[in-house]
Amino acid sequence: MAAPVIKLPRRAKGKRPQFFEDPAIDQMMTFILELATEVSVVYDRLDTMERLLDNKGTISRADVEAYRPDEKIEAERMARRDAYLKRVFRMHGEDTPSSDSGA
Amino acid sequence: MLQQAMHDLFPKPNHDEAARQEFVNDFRVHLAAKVFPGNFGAYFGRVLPAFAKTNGREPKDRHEVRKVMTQDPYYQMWSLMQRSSQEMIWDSVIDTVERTLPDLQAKAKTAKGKGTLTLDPAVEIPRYHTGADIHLQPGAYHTDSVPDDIAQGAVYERGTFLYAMGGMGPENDGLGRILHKFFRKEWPNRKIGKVVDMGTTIGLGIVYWAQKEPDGEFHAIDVAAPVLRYGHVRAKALGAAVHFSQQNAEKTNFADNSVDLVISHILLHETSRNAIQNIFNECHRILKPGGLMLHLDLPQAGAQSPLEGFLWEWEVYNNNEHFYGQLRELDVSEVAAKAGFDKAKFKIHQVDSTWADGQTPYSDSNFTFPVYAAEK
Repeated sequence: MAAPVIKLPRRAKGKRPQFFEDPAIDQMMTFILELATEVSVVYDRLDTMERLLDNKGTISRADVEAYRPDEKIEAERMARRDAYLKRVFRMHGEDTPSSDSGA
Repeated sequence: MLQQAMHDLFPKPNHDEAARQEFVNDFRVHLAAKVFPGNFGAYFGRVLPAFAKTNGREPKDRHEVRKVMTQDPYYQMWSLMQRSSQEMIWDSVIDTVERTLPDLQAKAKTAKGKGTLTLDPAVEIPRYHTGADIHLQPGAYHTDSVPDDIAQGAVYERGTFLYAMGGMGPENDGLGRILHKFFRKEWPNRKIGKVVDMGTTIGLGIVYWAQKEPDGEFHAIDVAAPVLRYGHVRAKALGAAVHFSQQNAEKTNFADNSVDLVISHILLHETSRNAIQNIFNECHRILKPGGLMLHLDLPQAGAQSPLEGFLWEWEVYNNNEHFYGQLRELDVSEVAAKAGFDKAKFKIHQVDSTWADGQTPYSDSNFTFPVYAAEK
């Protein structure tokens, strides 16, 4: 028999602030960010598989689960995620004055 | 991201959970470095000129800035993403804790080490914790989901590391290091004696103090049982002798004139106007004559410009740090005086936020923490 599934609280108590006039925009952004997260996770998983295959030729799921990037590889992944975030959110601020105008 | 030190009881993420947590971290770095600064452009290039045109003057304080900046689409989008990133931190960490909790609970039961844990179910969780979950951690510090629960402590340890983007160091104990370094700079020869850490949560700060001061006797109190249970086993795993007990800092069971040093690490802003007075009263009662209290907290409004003041208060309105807004304007010297501390012996120190060679919790290297200090 499987162990009982533990459910921890998932929603913080307190009113969620609304940032845009239309609450659908606020909701939509959380959908987009969750999707962006999952794309990043899939990319990391693919990257793990490619790196393992480079070294071993054949791999198992357990190999993937056990894999942890070292510092150098994590830095490469960070750079890739940084470029990815810039691409996804490139429209934000396109029509906004640059921060060089004061501060 | 800087790698977090993972002791025996740590909720270790699997491959995809780690990838999710790394993404949240990188997203927050992206927001802080690339998106947040754009608020200055939006304000000085668009919002301020429009306000000046209508009113014939600039906004006089952060409240006026709030009225207009919250209508600006750039700010709105940044704010929404910042808020979402905070929710994503907890969600990404709760996955790991839910999956690993049975194993962590079993390890917690048999963990060997120093220190003690004294729980008191009669301690009431104050309204400033039950009203809203502080910094959006679902269930906050005090919610039990299983018997002898340590989950909220485990969620807190990984979640706050991601919150600070690793800026508190691999042991996540930067605040303890900052306060301890300040203490030993100001009082190099003071006998450490009996120390009480108020609002300890999982003991991140006090464990460092205990490691640095082997002659001390260390007590750590909090109102919330799950974080104390986790803090106790965490301290054991790290070899620190700390006595954790469930107590409200507003009214403890330490005897009058019995404590040499009371400390806290960003406790005060998570309480209330009444509670802060009660806490200072209690510090005065339990300290020995000549005893010292040191409360490290977040910056006050002070000399911040209207825009800076508004941006600093983002956490008040959007991250359930409700009392921080009041603390930013509070005359803490009055609170201390009312508690019985001699005004001449009270001082607000602005303390360097460097916890190790050039490393600080915030990217602004000029950032300082106020430490409210008084000798009895």
